[in-house]
Amino acid sequence: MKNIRYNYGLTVPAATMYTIFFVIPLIMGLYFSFTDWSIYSNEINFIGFEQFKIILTNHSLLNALMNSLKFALVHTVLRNVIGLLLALAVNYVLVFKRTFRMILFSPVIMSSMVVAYIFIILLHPDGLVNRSLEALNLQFLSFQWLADPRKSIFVIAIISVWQMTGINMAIYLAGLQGVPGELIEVSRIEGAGKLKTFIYVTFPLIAPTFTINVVLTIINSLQIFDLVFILTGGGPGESTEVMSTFVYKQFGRGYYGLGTAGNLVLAALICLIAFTTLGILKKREAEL
Amino acid sequence: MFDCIYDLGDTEEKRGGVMKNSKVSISSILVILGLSIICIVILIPFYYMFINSLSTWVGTGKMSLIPPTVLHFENYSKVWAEGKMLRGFANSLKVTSVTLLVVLVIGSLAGFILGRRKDRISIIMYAYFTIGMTVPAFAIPTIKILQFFGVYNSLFALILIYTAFGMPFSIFVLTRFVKTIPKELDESATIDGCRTIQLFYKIIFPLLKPAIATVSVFIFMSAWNDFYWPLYILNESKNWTLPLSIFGYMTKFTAKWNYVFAVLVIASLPVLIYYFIAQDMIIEGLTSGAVKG
Repeated sequence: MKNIRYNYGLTVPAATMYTIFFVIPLIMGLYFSFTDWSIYSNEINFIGFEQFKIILTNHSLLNALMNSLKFALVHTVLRNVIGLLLALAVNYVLVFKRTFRMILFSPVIMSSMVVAYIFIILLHPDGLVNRSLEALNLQFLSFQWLADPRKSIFVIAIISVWQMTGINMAIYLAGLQGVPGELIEVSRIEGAGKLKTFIYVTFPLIAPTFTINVVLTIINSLQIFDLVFILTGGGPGESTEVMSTFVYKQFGRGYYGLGTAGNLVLAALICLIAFTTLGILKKREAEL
Repeated sequence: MFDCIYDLGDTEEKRGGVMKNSKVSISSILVILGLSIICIVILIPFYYMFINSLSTWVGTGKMSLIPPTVLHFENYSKVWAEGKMLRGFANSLKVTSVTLLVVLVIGSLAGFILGRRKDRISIIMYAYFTIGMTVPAFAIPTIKILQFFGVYNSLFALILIYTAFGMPFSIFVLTRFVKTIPKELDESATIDGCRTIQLFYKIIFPLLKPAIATVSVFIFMSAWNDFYWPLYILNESKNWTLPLSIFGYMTKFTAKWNYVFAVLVIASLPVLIYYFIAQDMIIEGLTSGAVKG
């Protein structure tokens, strides 16, 4: 056979764009996280781990970090539990499969900012949600949806669950498609109940899908920006501030070093959580 | 696509026990009922947005789910002009289409080479590209780079970074797809005297269609809906993309909810129509990256 030259030259355009506008800023970020870079001084001094000492004692940043983690936990659990249940349901029914899938997935394609504005109005103190609760005599359930320092972060998580669960459902559905019907039939003939069949047959077969879904949702959760920025702007006070809105605020205030350090913490956190989860779940998959 | 799947209900029905059949249909009805309720929860916000976008200022205050008796289509033309939506549309379209074109051309070339070579360099390069799917971008240094090239505060800057950020996913999908195309095709084409680049555009690129569709949906959606980067990068209103135009409109003319909803409808309609026409392709595009991973 003739030798074809798969010239690496053809990868140069892609590698150049990616390196200049993604990788170099990342390396710069690693460096600038250890400096006092800000618009208030002409020089940038290397201050080593000083910046991280500041971070670890900086109340605003720790608060943003905690909120990101709280948000990620609730968001990841709900999206995966509900997404899996919806996928099982859609997979189970014999009619309207496509219609259900289409409707359940539809909010995913919307811009998050559009979703945020719709919910600002729905959750307004005089909005549809409160009016409906009143009509049902359930006013006691109502609170300041988007202005409660303790609960609003969870309200934002639920709005995001409303918007994004469709994607988890679609991924689980694709996984369920790969489960051979014969296996389930055999298990049912052998006398296993539906729940048992799910736990011992279906779930182990969709374990890889579960892994991907969980890791994907975690990465997604930690990067949340649009919904928080528009729904609450991080308020009231700093009670719904998350990492990415924190970085944006430091940028606006001119504290570039601190903002970049926040970004580094976020990146490290995402890698740490994503790879640990991936490791644990892969191990579990092998055991199943 | 989902109709070929066996499920519990299906197999039992095929065995055809009368009693089992009726049991199955009761549980199916319950499942259908449950799904329908959830679908309503999903649809109410959309429906509410549509009916109120056609209402009056007083009408929106009623918080009713009943559509207004008189439909005020003039709301759309009013906010269209006031919010300079056409400009936002044009800017978003420019950014999205150029990004898409560049990503597809340079991404598929790189995917082709990385899918064909089997040496250590190709493995390292593949890892180098795909690591970008996990690590988030560093906003402030990215802006410094854009300032260094003198493109900060321009649509061109958005195109550059969307292209760069689009590389990991595109190369991930395209490289994997190229591996499924038999190498013999390349060899026969080379015998006909094609050079590598001709071989690529004449033979390989047309075969990449499904992967190209996946990448296109993903890049289009993420660029069209993006709000984060324009917020950092575009200071002048003449450059605002659609999401930023909406944000600008909201901060300037908030109070009247019928107009707010009209703006939101204008912003979502193109994507919703696209979804309605090509739902299979879109759902596939937004999920397949994950499934194949």
